[in-house]
Amino acid sequence: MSRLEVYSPEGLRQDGRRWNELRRFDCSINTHAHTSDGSSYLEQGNNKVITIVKGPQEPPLKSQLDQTKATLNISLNITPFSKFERSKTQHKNEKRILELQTILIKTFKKNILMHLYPRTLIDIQIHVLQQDGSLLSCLINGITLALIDAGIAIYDFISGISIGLFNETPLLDLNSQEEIVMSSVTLGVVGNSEKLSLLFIEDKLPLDIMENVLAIGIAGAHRIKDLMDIELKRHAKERLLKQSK
Amino acid sequence: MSLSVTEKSYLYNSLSSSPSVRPDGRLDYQFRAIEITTDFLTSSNGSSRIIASDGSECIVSIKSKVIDHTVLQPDDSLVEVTLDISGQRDDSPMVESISSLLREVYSKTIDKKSLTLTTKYSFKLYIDVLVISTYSNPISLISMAIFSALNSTYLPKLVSSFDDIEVEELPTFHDYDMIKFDVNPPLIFLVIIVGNNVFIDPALNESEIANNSLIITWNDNKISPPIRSLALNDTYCEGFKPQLLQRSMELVEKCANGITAMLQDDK
Amino acid sequence: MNVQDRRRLLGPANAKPLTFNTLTTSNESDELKKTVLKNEALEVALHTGFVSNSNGSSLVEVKDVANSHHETSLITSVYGPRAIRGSFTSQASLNIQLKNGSLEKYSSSQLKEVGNFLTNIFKSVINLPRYAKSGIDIFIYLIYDKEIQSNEKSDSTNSITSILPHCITGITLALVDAGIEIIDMAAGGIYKGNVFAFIKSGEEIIGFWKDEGNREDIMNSIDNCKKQYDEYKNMMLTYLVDKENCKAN
Repeated sequence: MSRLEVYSPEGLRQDGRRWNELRRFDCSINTHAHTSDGSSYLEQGNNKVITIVKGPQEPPLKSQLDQTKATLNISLNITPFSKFERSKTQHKNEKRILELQTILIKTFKKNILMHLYPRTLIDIQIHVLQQDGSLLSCLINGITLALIDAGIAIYDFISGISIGLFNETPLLDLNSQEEIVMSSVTLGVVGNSEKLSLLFIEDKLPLDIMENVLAIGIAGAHRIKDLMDIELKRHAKERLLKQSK
Repeated sequence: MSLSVTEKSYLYNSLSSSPSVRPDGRLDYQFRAIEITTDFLTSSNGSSRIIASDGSECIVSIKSKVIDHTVLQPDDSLVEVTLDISGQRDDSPMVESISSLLREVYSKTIDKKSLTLTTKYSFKLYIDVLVISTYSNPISLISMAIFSALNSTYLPKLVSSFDDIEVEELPTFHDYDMIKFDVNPPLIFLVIIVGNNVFIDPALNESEIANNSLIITWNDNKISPPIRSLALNDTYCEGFKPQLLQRSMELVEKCANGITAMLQDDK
Repeated sequence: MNVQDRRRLLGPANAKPLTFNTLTTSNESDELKKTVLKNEALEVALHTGFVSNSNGSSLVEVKDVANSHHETSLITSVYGPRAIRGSFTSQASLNIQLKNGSLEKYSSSQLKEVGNFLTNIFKSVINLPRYAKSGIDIFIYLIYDKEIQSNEKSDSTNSITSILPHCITGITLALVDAGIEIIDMAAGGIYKGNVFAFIKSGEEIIGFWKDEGNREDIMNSIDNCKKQYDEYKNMMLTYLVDKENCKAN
């Protein structure tokens, strides 16, 4: 097996996973209790993301005030040290970042019960400390966890997952090396359903394999949702124990 | 948090009286509790995360890069510091002053020799500071975070020869072995002056009523420049007597060694 | 003011603004030449009130052969107290900015840091609560700043530190020219890389800046800096008294 083989004939990927395996998924919530209303810290593979939710709060600017529903604001901070090679710029106001922010806002606007919080602002700050592929899906998972921690009403979990296509074989949860060599899809799946709240494709993908890819992706997203659920329940139990003392 | 005029006046009286009473019951030389985690970013050479008891949080990453130091200008430094305070613009007075001070401190105090690889090549260190949340002036917290990050920094081990003036070769490194970066980084302390009293490590409510404050650098087991005076609020700004400068420095001398020792053996 | 302030009741539409008789002012300030004051170490030229669109301005030209070994010239202009946008503030907000002259000597972050430091100093000099709901903006333009060639090794390097005392003098004079209330005349001195700014005849320190040297120097240089403070203060007072006398005649 050569060193740069993406997917070996034996069915192993570079990091030793099989085609349908996720990377290590570690999450915790309420990590920044002092500074925020809801927060989460997510490690998905080598991605490390801090998400901080402030709100629903009074907006500092009148322009952010909506009489009928809440305003959602997401700011994404990709640190210069997040990649292996340090980037020279601060990434702020880059087109790529602005695009990701709009995608996230559009996705979560439909999932939060915005009408319950009129005249308020929900402010989400994301700090990416380390990144290694499938960034968008990581951000989605981080936001879902932080929103739940903040106690903001949402319809259901949204779990993000990326699927790549390598020679007609779909590969789940790509890392940065795999992301470079193959075209990929990012999905945002609503809860345990088969509904999608996000489908994001930037590359070419044959339409006849699409259904197969989606099926794998939805299955992966359900697994992520379960992992998040386990952590949330563990956290809730721990908190309840502390309270009853 | 904003305090009312009467609350401020109460605080001012309790801090300026003798003996003084700090709102959280600390003594004048006592720090607030902090929590430090190091070495959690695998793609950086060194990293640390520090959380103060008021929820202020700071993350520092140290990355290195091999550069040709023969092409550097004389005032170019081998250490670069960037600062990002969440929720503050990069050109705000606070961010600009703190990053200018940090650059001054770390580019001068980190020895160039410790970063030199061969006669031609050196490591360049990039210290990236991300302040996720802050309530009072974060300078002291940042310096402690950088201190522990530098102390947990490992640089690749050189396996090629040191002298490469004769033979043109690029430095090569060992595949796995890393060498601990050997430094004694400086620390920066913030001391406030209230009436005739001085206090170290002010909380937000104490900063709001400080008459003046001093940023004091501690390097190589002694007080060293840069030292600056700094106004932390708009309403209580006043001049201070020269003796208070002396007492502030004595206060730093009293607790600096303890802090250094505490930060060094946190592992 | 051509911008209507919607937060205030403006009275009936046909109301006329209150006007006072204009004072007959003489243009003597224009005729006044800059005053040059000298002693063995310091050669200072002072001039105020020449930037007509500002509320107060000053020119400080210093040739310092003893302490900072610098030849410096800077213009300070004060704008305000003027109305600020936004919410109510119980006292004036102060903002000091520095600008490089033709020599692009200092980096912008260095200038910002010094501006911030000077702002901090003058927060304890200007009687800010006197000017609620207003802002005072001060701009310093560094016309030139060069090191004097001296044979002996100068103890201060080519840093921004050495112009700090001149900036303080400039701002104080410009504030006096603008008629803004200050608690006392502020001035500063430099010795062995230590900059001290004083008020109240040297009893109170309002600012301290040190970029080099060691700890032992600090307390020893206070007296030297105090001496320079006295010199600067006397120069400013002499200049201001002379100017008043000129006007009176």
